[in-house]
Amino acid sequence: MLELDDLDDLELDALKELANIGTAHAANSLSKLVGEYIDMDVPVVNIIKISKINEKFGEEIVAGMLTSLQDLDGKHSGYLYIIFPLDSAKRLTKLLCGSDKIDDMAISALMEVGNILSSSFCDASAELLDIIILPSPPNFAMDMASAMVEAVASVFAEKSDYLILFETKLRDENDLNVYMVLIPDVKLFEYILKMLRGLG
Amino acid sequence: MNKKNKEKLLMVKHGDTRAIVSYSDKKPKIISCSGKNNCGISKKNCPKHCKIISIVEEFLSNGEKSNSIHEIFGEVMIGIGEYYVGKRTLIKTIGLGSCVAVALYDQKKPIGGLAHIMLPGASENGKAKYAGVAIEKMLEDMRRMGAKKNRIVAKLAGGAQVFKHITLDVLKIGERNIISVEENLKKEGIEIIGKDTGGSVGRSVFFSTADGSLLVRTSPGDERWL
Repeated sequence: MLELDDLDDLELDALKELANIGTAHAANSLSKLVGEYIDMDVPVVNIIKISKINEKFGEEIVAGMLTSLQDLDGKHSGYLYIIFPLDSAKRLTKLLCGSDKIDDMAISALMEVGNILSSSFCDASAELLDIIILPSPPNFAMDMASAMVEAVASVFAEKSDYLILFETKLRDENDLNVYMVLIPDVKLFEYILKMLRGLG
Repeated sequence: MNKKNKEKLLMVKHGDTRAIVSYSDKKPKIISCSGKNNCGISKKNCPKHCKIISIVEEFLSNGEKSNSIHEIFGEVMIGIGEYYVGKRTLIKTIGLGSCVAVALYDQKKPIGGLAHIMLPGASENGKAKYAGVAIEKMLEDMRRMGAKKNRIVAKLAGGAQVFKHITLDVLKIGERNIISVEENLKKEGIEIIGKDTGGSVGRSVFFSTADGSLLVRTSPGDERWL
């Protein structure tokens, strides 16, 4: 099993840089969409025990969107989980649809935001890695943040007791928060490391 | 797994009403109550005095135990793919989506266990994230604590499909989990006496091994007692 401790500082920095580029592009797209300046936090890379996933994501009800990432062979190589806390989901809906009621129209709008975020994230990171990553159509729900990620955890749990999480956050000046979590499978993670080592 | 022993807890039963009540300095506080059926008042507007509170006050003043009151001696939180077996314990697990919570208890003794199952089937590596493995391990631990298999019954919750617009087949794992849990219980000869499974909402559960009550709280905030 790979451990974050096995990585040296340079490799960790390279991993963060990858997440940084992906998130920067996503932030840029969101900024264009809502017409506001969007800031981003420095990405954090974590290897977390799957048994801790429900405590990590918690019981808070959020609007969540899950997209699987595939390479050209159609193999799943990871997931991107985008979380809109409820008040942020309402603010986005208000900006895009004119009302903060979360109805079907609002859900479509939020899914579109998720689509734009995941596409720009994939484009930017894939370019750096010189691979093609295609996001699947999004899966959307409003539920406990941990209940949504469980199915992904189950898929990974067949092979490992750990998940790799790249976590970043987009925000504007007025409490609009969007969390993006990239969950690569081990193959993609190793490929990322290989490429980054080559780049270094 | 997180253990804590801060508050003292009681499981109280009165007619069809069930409640979790905490107390300190002989002052009871209702944590959760199924009271809607009986008193017609939701727990947010609990009357200062109800039958549940007076049962607890009576117990606290004279220490006499009755069938309607069960003491809890500890709380445990289990993570995904984990299980816990204990005597007179309140076992919690949060954020169940596609996973299934399996509660087992002895109908005559305050011994029981709760598992948060992630995957259908079994595995040779003996990890409790698989339905078959978790059920087998819980039964074994319970037997060692003095439970009798022919008195053990099961309650289930979870196995939801939280994504309404699902585009990925691999995420439809909830249903497979439920089927696998039910098959494994059948194989062991354990009867399922209560379940709240499937659907599209996330759930958190609280299981009292003192009396076998299972409280299911759904993401929209509904509470069901099994």
